[in-house]
Amino acid sequence: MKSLEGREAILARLAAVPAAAPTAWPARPEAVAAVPDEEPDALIERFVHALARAQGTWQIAASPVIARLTLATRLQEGGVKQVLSWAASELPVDGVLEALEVLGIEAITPAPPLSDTRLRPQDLEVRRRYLLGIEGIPVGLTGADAAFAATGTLALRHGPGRPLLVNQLPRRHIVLLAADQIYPTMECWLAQRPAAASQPHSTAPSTTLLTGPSRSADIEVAPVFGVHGPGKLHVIVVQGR
Amino acid sequence: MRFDVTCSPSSPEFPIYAMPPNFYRRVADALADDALRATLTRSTGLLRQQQAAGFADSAPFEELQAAARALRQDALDRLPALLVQLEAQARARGVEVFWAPDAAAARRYILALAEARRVRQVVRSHAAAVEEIGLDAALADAHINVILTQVGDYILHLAGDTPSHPVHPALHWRKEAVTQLFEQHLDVPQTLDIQSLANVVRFKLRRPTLEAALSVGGVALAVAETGTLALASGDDRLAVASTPIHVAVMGIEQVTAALEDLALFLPLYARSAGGQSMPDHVLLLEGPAPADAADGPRELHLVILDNGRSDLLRWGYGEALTCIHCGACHNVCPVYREIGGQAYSPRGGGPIDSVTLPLLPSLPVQETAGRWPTAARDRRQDAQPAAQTGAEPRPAPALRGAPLAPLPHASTLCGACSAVCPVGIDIPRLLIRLRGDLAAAGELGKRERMLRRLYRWGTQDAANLPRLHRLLRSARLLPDWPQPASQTFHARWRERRGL
Ligand code: SF4
Repeated sequence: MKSLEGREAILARLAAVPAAAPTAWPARPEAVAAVPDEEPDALIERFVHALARAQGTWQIAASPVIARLTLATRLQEGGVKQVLSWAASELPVDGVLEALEVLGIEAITPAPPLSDTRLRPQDLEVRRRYLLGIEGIPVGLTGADAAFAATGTLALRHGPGRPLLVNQLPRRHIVLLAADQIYPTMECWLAQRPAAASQPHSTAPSTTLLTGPSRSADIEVAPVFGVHGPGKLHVIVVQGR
Repeated sequence: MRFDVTCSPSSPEFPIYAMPPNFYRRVADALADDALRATLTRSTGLLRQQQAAGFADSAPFEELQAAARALRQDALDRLPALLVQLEAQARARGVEVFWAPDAAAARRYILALAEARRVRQVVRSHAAAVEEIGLDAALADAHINVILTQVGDYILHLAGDTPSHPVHPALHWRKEAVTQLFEQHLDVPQTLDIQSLANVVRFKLRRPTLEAALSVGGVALAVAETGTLALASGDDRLAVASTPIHVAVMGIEQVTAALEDLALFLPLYARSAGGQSMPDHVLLLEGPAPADAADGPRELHLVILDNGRSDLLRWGYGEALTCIHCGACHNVCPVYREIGGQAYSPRGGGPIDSVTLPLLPSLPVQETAGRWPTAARDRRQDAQPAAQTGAEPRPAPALRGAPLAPLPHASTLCGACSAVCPVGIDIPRLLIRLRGDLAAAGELGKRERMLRRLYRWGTQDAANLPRLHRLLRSARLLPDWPQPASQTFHARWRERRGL
């Protein structure tokens, strides 16, 4: 069946649904009440508390310089030699990748070769080798576009220089989060986003919402980490940007 | 060891978990299996605790429930308009939209896509709508390898077993059975450490996931206003990032009006399903990746699936479609907790499924072959209207031959399900109504009809009760039931009191 026929068939069936009986159900709720302005420190406090509950870990860096140091120390202590990373221009702290390079830590922004979906076997083979080549890199380094204090969630917009693979492939994920990007709730963040309906192509094609490390509980409901994505999530909250 | 892994004669290398075809037999088998019941009791107990803890620091549950219920109902009331809006928004962002009136159309579309792109390997994440269309078997028939990314689905696929829970499909599996299965099929050493068992699956999945060109998964909700697809199953994260083509399959009911609705539903789902404040991973997809982005799907397809849902709406069971598949009703149901979802149907089951499964088309033949009866459904579109509840008359459901007709009777109607349901679905009311509709469609067997008449006769007059009791004891009408007590309660009462 052609999609058009399917569309007309489904819409015709829906048109045949009798009007709903009057119910005592509440009407569509009003927009969520605005959250009163919160002190930045209180927001950070709430965010890291919620993040810890979701099994994420965190550090607070009082300035971008301290954030660079904190990150470098962490990677060096872990014996890390390579990281997958967002492009330098997309990270919220300047000079991070240069600082890592000085320490002998190579930062790779993944760019799996494939420009379209023609999927020629030779293209796929190149892509396959590329992906398997970066598969073992232990740490992913990203920024974040927003965080929600209520749930400890990070929002990462993707696009050029911000590949999804950085926060999916490695076993550990480190996020540089500017303190002024923390919103009280997801509702507050959504209220700030551009009205997508009126500007169809202004939004990022994809946004990840991360709450803690990759977690699943498929055997006896016991929580396990790192099956589908990074099993460890560490957030460096950068103040004074 | 509970799980006898046997081989299906139709496919010698593919193990099929031997499952009795009759619902009552499956229930009896489940009840006789102490290990299964212990597993179910422990796991559902944990999930109940997690659900309660999940709402300890949230806004009051009743407020959230009322808001969610209003939003879901609003979406159903405006369904055609919202779906058309979603389609327009998605197309404007470069998404290919396909409307599938039934499972076969959805299967054909995905198969044709895989064949056109000469794909030999498909990564499939956990999604009820994808399981519903029987895609795995269709791909296997086309010699396309299917990789299941969810650990529970992976276990069930290896064992040829069927799911028991919407969120935790292998809820009925103990770790001892899992380790034995892995040793047998994956040649890995035995371990009872659950993290290690999960790591085995991680190891087995990564390479084929990175090598695949096409992924298929579900949608938690699609936003009409923006065309955003919220993917929240978590096990799809690597596949959606790495495969150049992604197909998202959604039921027609999985649409919501506005982006801010997600701020209510995502936490509500996570708290209800496992006590988390949010799902650990949600991807908001708003179109295919642009050419200058390094990854993400270059080609994004959205399949909007009806497959009997519009019938549910027409028959007045639309409330059941407001379900967000959190599994909370399963975890509290006294029937589910004794028998497990695998006893209900090949697609699993639980309180809400006892409403929807008898009303939806049965599984494709390949999915049920050798395991379940595939009774043909006689959809009598012009059957007599059932009792009315107000508003316009509703057509009666076409239920004759429903293979899952016993399901609505597998309930004590205690109401524990609707008390925890985050969208406040009145499941007992729907079950009672469905029982009536099934009876009206002639779905009660001769024996049940006779027993019901006998029961009515015995209970409508106090004088008849002792006669009914004597009849039940002497005639052994119910050989599979416990023998009734030697005396009626009233007789014993009188005897004790010396009356
Ligand atoms: S009926 Fe309610 S409680 Fe049950 S799975 Fe659906 S949303 Fe969850």
